[in-house]
Amino acid sequence: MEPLTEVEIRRLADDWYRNLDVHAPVEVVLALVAEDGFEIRIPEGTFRGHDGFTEVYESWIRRFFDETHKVNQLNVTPTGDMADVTVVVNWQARAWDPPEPKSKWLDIDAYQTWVVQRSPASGLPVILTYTVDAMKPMPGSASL
Amino acid sequence: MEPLSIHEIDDLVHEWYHKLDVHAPVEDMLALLAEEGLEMRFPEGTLRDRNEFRPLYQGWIRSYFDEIHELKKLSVTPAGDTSEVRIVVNWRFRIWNPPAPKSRWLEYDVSQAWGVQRSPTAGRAVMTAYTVEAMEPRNGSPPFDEVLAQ
Repeated sequence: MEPLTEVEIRRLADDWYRNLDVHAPVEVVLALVAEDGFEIRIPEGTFRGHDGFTEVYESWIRRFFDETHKVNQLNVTPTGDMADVTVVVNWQARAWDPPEPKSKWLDIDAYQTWVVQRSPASGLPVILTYTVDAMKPMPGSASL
Repeated sequence: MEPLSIHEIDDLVHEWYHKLDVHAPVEDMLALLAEEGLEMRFPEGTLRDRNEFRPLYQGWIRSYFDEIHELKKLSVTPAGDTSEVRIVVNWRFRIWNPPAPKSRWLEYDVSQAWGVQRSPTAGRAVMTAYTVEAMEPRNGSPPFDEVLAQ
């Protein structure tokens, strides 16, 4: 298959974070991850496959809102058919645990590593593995 | 019993709204309501017993957050044992219905009429009547009926 380009991977990252911000239907987000062998390692744990991601995503969209993701750094290293991607994304969001009187404001720089491959089915780049390496709260942010 | 002073009524009004803002325990709210002869008229319905306030309040604190009540007008008219209190309070708050991506920040000027008496048991000012007379949307907020219907 044709090697992945940086332009394609940047478009994938843009689509990914935009879908997270608008709480897109899970089927739309699943189209951006590998059909086979997908793994996501996040502070909540490690989840595998479409079923694992669906569980995580459905919990995210019921816990966080008013979200904005802004990519501050994205580096692509081609590795044959795949690409290693490092991302620094600023994530701002609110969380509210009823009946607490106040919501929490989160402003966190997330350091992530992705492995991206071209989908044999769609021909588009998809995320094979997604790892959150670190979460650094910005001044004024609540903790998770 | 000693007539209520303006200061006592002012304290009650401020205490009520502060406790709403901090989502105080329901028992703290009930302490501000008359044990007998209570009538509270809200957009959600009319209550005639302190215990009926419990489920309403538990619903409020699970629906509204980041609340700010700011008193804009307060007038007191003594009328025998009961003081008639008229209030306009600016109420700002956020609502969010999961899994919606965005919360909504809403604002209303709420006109209320209270009846306030001295509690024979606690000796302090308590509400005997509470009527929400009008809720004027501010800054593009929808009519409050639409919020309740969600």
